[in-house]
Amino acid sequence: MLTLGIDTSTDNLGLALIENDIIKAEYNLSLKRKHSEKLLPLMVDIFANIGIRPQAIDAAVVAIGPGSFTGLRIGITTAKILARIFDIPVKGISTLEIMAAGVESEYILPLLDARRERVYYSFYKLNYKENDYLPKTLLTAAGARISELSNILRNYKDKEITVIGEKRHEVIDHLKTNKFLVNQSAAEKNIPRAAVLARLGRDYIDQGQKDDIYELKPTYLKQPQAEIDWQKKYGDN
Amino acid sequence: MDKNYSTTTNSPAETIDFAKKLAELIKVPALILLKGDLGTGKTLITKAVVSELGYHGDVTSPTFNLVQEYQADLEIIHMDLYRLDSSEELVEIGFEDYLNREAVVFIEWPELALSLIPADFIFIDIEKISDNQRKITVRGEGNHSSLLIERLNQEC
Amino acid sequence: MKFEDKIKNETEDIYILALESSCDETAASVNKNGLEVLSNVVSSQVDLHKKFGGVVPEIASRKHLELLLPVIDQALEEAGIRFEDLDAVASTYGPGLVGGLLVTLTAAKTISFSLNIPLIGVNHIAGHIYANFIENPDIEKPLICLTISGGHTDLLYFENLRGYKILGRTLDDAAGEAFDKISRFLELGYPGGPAVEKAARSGDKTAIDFPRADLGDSYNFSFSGLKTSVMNYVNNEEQRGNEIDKNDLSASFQEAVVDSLASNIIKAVKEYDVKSVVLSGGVAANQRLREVISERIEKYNLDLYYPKLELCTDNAAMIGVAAYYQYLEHDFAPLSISADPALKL
Repeated sequence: MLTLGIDTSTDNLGLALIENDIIKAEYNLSLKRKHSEKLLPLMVDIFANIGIRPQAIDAAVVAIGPGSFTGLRIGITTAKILARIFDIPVKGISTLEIMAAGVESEYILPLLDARRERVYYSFYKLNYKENDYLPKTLLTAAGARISELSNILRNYKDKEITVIGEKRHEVIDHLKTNKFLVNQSAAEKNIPRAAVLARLGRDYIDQGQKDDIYELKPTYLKQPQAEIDWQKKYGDN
Repeated sequence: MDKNYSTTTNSPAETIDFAKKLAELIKVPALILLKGDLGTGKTLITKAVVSELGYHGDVTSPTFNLVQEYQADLEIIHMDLYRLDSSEELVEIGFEDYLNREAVVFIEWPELALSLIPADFIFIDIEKISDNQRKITVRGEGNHSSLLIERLNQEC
Repeated sequence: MKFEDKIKNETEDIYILALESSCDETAASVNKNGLEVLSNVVSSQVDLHKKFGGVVPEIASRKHLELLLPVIDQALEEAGIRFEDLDAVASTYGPGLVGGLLVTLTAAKTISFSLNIPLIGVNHIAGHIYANFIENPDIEKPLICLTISGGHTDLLYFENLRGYKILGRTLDDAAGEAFDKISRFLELGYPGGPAVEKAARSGDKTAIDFPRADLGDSYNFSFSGLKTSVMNYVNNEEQRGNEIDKNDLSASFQEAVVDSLASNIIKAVKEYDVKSVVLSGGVAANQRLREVISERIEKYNLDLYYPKLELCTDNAAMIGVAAYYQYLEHDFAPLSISADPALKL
């Protein structure tokens, strides 16, 4: 099965083609706001380089965020159209899950920067020792202030947690201060990798889990609650 | 007592001069809230800052479409929340995504946003003293704002 | 095979799928040989934005993504066309709201890539001009077209439909913008064009003699001096303690705008040997403008065309027509094309 993975959710533009267990091609480009210009030319490139025609793909997998809303819509639109034209299954995968599925640790906290001392996080368990590489969600994706994370993760204080992604250094500092056991991972494990996305999508589709192409949309994740309502200080007296 | 900067301008031209000074001190991402009654000069200030930031197209009050996006070397978002009734509506218009962007965000009539924003913003209060005179007070939360206020106080 | 090797010429049937999402309509259409509209599906989000009193970019973008496949499916089905039958795919790429534009532009790029057919990027304003030709396929050429809206004031010359030459454009405010600003200044309401026109109907257009910009031999326009004159007039009168008749003021202002627009058209009609005059864009709905222009071109024995109201709203058929003529000129877009929110003609 030839699976195409597309990720335009973050600054990383990810594009990968995998055939069964073989990575045919993988791009991870760090770009800011250039996804619209780059995505399709890169697709032409990737197919030309490995000599495959677009109609050969059997599945399209796409990152559905959290991330930039505009960026997300670029990848999702592309996946929808491919699925519609070639009549192939499509599967949307959380960007945080892609990150988690790329490391081999039991407890994983992937992070994306939500700016202003805040992050989007999700918390996963990976039973990699049993050769199971699909992360199990322990805490669903949400936004939080970095300073809240120790409380959010309070039930996992005795576990070794691998912290990856954006703002990991700040989060690690915060968790260490609060007596958590934390690990890091090698530099390349800190982005959502396109090949991991394609592999995850393929695994899900193999299990019969696919998305309705008409319903597929980004996760428009809510911001964390503001710590203070500024109304009193700045609102009308 | 929090730090603040306060100045009185005697004409729209002086208000624009203030805005130009402000523009020099803004770093991305920035969240700038502008409070003041109708006709006090919120859009005037936004316009002048936006033009200093390198966008030379038309800047008008986005009262009728709530949000305008300007693309200069950096991304600029201009919102006017006058017509909104609740902070739920604010979430609906994609407010949270705008806060996530590497952008300079201006918000006129910011009262509704006050329950949704983190401790990192610049708050500009404009009061009408007479037809042409305005009292402008800059307050705010976070490092960016305190640095900016410090610099304004040093320079003026 | 590269798509370049299968490009057709105008003796063959050419089918184009066109998409449009620059504002608050998600639209798709299939055109055969340009002017033959096989389907024209428009899904409007107007109600969604109504409570906000304007188009909200993020809300519009979300809706475009949701409606994209359904409108494409319906357009293909109504036209009785399959993806494989298409010769090209087109999308608006500006001006408009970036987030929205990117939805159909990305879709069109992916279709172009998947089917190996050319991608055509269409300027939304050009689309509105070509809308006239759908309604009046027998329009005689060459022609002069004035396109006037809140964002544009352009005078164009069409030898045929394959392309145009820009004769003149506004040096400052667009005509529609001038109406909006004056309406806001006089507190007449929004949108400004219809509000000023309504007030003008009960006013005396000769009450105040506002200046017309003298731009010499050029076909350009300028409305910012006029706007300042109106404001100065009001301020002066107020200082003298005189009551201002908003109707007279609106009528006199409108007359000055209409006169500038009409004068340039007449100038162009004299220089170019044209058979027709076409108005497009939102301001083309102004009754007084239509009236003055038809009076003044009467002696040249020309036909005047302006769009019916229903074709004034955004649709994809007009994008498809413009795209057809671009196809004939091999004016194709690369897959790296991006949305341009401030695209000009």
